[in-house]
Amino acid sequence: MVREYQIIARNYDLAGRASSDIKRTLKAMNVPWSFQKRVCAASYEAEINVVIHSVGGYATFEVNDQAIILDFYDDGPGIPNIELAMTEGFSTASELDHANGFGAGMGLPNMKRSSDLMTVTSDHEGTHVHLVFLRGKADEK
Amino acid sequence: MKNSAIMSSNYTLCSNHSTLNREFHGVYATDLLSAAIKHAEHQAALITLISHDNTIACAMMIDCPLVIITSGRVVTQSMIEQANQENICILTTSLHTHEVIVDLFTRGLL
Repeated sequence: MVREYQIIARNYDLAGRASSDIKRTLKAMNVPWSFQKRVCAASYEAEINVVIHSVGGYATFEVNDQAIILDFYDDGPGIPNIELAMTEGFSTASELDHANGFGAGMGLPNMKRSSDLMTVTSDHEGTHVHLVFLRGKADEK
Repeated sequence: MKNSAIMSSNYTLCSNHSTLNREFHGVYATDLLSAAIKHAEHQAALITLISHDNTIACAMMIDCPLVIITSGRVVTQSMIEQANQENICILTTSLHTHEVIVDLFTRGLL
């Protein structure tokens, strides 16, 4: 099963829509709560990052027997220094983002912590975040 | 503990009355939704002054049955509709976040 979601830049009202659908799907699949939480935490952070930092993009959500795979693609402007962006607390978010409860610089670190595999590639044309959650791990048994 | 246990003159129910029947287990207070997603325990109540659709989306993500919006922040109709759809209780209060915690503790709800 693969689903695709459009993510609109700066639209806080629709932010979280993809992750909410992913959450509902995992719940319907009776996936254990701790596993749901890992996937949804990473998904939500990644989705909010696209809303806050990019000009827009999309996400794909894939479920297979071995893993749950999330991919987030945006159309730029890209992350100038991925290593710095991975530092907990580092943020380029605006006051508006903070007022909405985001932009604490925990997004990418949270994604890394929640997932079993994470890769980030970025240039001025866009960013791709790839997240894998292995099924059958302790929190899904 | 049932959400209804929290009700007092300090709190106003914004969501459907039926949402008071859900149970919460502990609380998590933060104004950073990322922190709630990362740290909140299963079925914990969320206490925050962030009053936005995303607060409810975040609560839904962590199976939070109760959101207490503090410091007199206004709750929008959109939040209420979303909360009712997800059976999440929204309470508002003029108390600040730390005062809510003290209030719940002194009433034996924590």
